Amino acid sequence: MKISHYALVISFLVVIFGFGIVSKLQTDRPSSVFENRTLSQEPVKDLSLIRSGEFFKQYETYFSDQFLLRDKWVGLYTKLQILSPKTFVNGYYIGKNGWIYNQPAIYTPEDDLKKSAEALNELGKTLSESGTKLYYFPVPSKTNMTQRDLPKYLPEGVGEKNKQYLLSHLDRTVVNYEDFRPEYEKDGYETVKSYYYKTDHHWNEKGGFLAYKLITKRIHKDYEAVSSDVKKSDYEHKCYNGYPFSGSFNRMVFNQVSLYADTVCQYIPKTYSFKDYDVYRGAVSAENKVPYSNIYAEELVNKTGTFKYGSAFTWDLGEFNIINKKSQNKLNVLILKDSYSNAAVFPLAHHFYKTSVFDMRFNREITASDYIKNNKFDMVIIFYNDGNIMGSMYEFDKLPQ
Amino acid sequence: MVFSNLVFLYVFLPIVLLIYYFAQDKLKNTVLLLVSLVFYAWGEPKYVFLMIFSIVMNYCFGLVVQRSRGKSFAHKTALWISILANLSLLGFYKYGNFAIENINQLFNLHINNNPIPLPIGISFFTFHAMSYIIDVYRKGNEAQKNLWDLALYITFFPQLVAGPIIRYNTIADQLKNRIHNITLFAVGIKQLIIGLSKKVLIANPLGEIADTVFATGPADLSQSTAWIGIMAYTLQLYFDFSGYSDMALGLAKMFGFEFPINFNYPYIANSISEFWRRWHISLSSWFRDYVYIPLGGNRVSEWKIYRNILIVWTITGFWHGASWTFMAWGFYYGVIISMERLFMQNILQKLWTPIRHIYVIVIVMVGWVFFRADNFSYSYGFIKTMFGFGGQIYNNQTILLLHDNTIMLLIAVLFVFPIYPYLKEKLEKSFQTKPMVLISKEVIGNITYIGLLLVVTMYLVNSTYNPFIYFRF
Repeated sequence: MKISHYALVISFLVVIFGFGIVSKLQTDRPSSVFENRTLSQEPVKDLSLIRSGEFFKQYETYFSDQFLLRDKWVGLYTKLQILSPKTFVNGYYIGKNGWIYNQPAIYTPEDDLKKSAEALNELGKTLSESGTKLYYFPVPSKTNMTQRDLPKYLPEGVGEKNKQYLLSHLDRTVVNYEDFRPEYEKDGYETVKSYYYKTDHHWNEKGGFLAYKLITKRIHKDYEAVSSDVKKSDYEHKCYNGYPFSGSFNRMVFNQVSLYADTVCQYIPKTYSFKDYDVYRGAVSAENKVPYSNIYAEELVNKTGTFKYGSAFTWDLGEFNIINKKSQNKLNVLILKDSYSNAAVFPLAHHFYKTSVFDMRFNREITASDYIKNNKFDMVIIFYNDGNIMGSMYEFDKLPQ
Repeated sequence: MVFSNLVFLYVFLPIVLLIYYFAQDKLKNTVLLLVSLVFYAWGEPKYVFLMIFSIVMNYCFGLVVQRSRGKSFAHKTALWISILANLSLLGFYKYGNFAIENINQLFNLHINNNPIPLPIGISFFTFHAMSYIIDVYRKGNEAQKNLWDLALYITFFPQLVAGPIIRYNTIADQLKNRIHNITLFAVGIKQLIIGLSKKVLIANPLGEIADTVFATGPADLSQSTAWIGIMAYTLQLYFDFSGYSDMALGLAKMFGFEFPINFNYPYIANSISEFWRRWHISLSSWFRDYVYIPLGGNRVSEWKIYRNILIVWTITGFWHGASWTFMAWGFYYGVIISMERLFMQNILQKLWTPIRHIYVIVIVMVGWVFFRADNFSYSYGFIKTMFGFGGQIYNNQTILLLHDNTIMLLIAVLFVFPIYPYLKEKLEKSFQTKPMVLISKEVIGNITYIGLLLVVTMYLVNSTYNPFIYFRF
C-alpha cells in the first residue's frame, strides 16, 4: 500500500514539476500555425499592470499559450471531440468526403445590417456627387451556399435572409448592387459545391472565375469599354495534383481531414499574361514595383511547401496596384475587398487601365474614405463575400481596431 | 487564482510544495501564510490589504472578547461590535450597491451608485473570522495570540476563496501540530485530481449546455430544452462546487491539514431537509450554529421555529448574492423545509423511495432556476415553459442538445450517485484475500489518477471556459 502511495506521489510530482519546468525553459513560440493566431508572450512586469491584476491574467494566457506540447494537447483534444457525438468540433462540422463547414448565422441583427446599408448608401451618395459609380457585390460564401449539407436537426441558417435584408435597404440610385447567388445555383447543388474548397472557407478558382465573369458582365452594362467577353476557353485550367493544401477550416480542426482533400488549380490566361502588368505592392511608386509573382500565386510558381488559399492566389494585402498598359480603356478602378476577391482580382485587372486593391482590415494608416478622397476613381467596387455584410468593414471612415 | 488553472497546477503548486517541504517545521506556517497571500493577490492584488485589515481587526477583537470574560456587558458588547464590524465590511462590498439601488427605487432618489467590485471570497473569509470570534465568546476557546497563526487560519489558500467554511476549532490544533506523511499526501493527490476532474471534465461541459439554454430567448425555448438546461445546470452546480471542495480538501491534506467533507451526494436525498444536510455542509452548519440556534433553534414555540427557519434560509439565500432572486431562493427553501416539518415529512416517509427522490430533484431544480436567473420574470417564464405552459414540446435546439450531450449528461447523472465508493468497498471486501488483485487495483488506480490529471491538463490547455460559479459569493 505504501509503495503504491510513493508511486502515486512521485508520478504526480514528476508531472507537475516536469511540465512546469520544461514549459518555462523552452523557447517561446511567436505564433501557432494550427490556431492561425499569434501566441501570447511573457507580459511586461509593470507595476501598474500588477496592481490592476491585468499582469496575472496576461500571465495565465501566456502560460497556457506556451505550455509544453501545446499543439499536441490541442490536437488530441480535437481528436477526442471528433470521437464524441459533438456536431461541431471547435465550432466546425466535419461532413462526408472531407468537407468541413462552419456554423451558419442563426440570428438577424437588423440594426447592424441597417448600419451597413446606411454606410453603403452614404458612400454611394458621396461618390455619385463626384461622378464615381459604386458597385456592391456580396458574392456567395461557402457558409451560405453549402448549408444543406449540415445535419437537419440544426437550427436553420439565416445568412441568405440577412443578405436580402441588407440589399432591401440599399438605395439603387447610388449603390449598384447585384446578387450573384442565382447564377451560382442555376446548374444544381453539385455544381455549387464545385465552386468551393472542401477544407477552406473560401471558394476555389472556379468560384472566383465565375465572379470575375459576372462582375465584368455587370460593369459592361454601364461601360461599354469594359469587355464582357470572358470565356473559359481563353484560359488554361492548370491543376497542381499531389500538392498538400492547408485549408483554413482544416487548420481549425487540427488537420483532421487529409491535406490532399483539395487540389489547387488556377486559370492561366492564354490571350494575355499577368507578367505584362505593372504591379505595385503598396502605392504606385518606383520602389513599390514588384514582379507579379511577388503578389500572385507565389507558391504555385515555386511549387514548394503546402498551399494555402493565399498562396494559391494573392495574400491579403493592405494595398496593391496593377497598371495594365495594354488596356483598351483608361478606367481607374478601386476594389475594396475581402479575401474572396483574391481569386478574381488579377483577371479583373485585365479589363481596366489601373486597378487599386484596398483591404480595410490591413490598412492602419488610412481609412477607405480618405483613400477614395485622395484618388480619383472612375468606379469603386466593393467585393465582399455575403457572410461579411456588417461590422467594421462597413465603417469606411474608421481605421481597423 | 483558481485551482483548475495551468499556472496553479504547474507553477504555483510545485513552487509551494518545494518551499514548504524544504522549510523548517517552525517556518512552515509562515510559508503557507505568505503563499496564501500571493494566491489571493494573484487575482486582485488590491484586496489583499482588505483581507489583512480584516485579519488584524479580528485578531484584536478575539483578544478583547477573551479579556472581557466575566464582565457580562463588556463581553457582549465586544462580541456585537466585532460582528457588526465584520458584517459592515461584508455589507459594504457585497450589498452596498444592492442597498443603494433599492433605496433609489423605493424613495425615487438618485444616490450615486458606482459599482464596487466584489472582493473574491469575502463571504468566506468573513464567515471564517466571525466563527472564530463567536467561538471565543461562546465556547470559551482561547483567543489566538499568534497573529500569524490566526492569519493562516483565515487565509489558508485551499479554503480561502470558495470554502469550505472551516471552524476555528477544527483547525486550531492542526495549526500547531500536524502530521505529514506519504499516505495523507497520496490521499490528498487523489482528492485533488478527483476534484479537478469533476470541475474540468464534467462541470465545465455541463456549464456550456446550461449557458446555451439560459441564453435562449423565451420565445425560442422549448419545454424539453428548458428541462435539459436546468438538468445541466443542476449537475453543473454539484460537480463545480463539490469538485472545488474536493480540491480544497485534497490540497489541505498535502500540507497536513484534514478538513471535514462539504458534500455528501446531496442529490440522493429523500427530503429537502436531508438535501441541505448533504449540500455545502459547512455553510448549512454555520448558519445552524451561528444564526438558527442563537435565534432559539428548536427550543422555542412552534411558530417561532418556523419564523427562525424562514429567517435563516432567507439569509442563506442572501449570502449567496445581493439580489432579490437569491433571497427568494433562500425563502423558497425556508418554506419547503417548514412544510416538511409541519406535515410533509410524514407523507414523504410513506412514499415509494424513487418518488421521494423525484420530489427532491424537482424541488431543487425549480430552486436552481431562481438561483440562476437574473430576475423574477425570467424565472417565471422559464418555470412556466418547464411545466408545459409555454413553448413547443421540443425543437431543433432540443435535438441538437440531446445529440451532442446525452452521453455527457448520463455520465454526470451516474456520478451523482455514490457508485465509486460502493464499488471500491465491494472490490476491497471481495478481494482482500487476493493480494495480486489488490496490487493490480493499486497500480490501475494510480495510472487512472495520473491519466485523469493529464486529461484535465489537455482540457485546460484547450479551455477558455473555466469559471468557478462559487467565486461570486
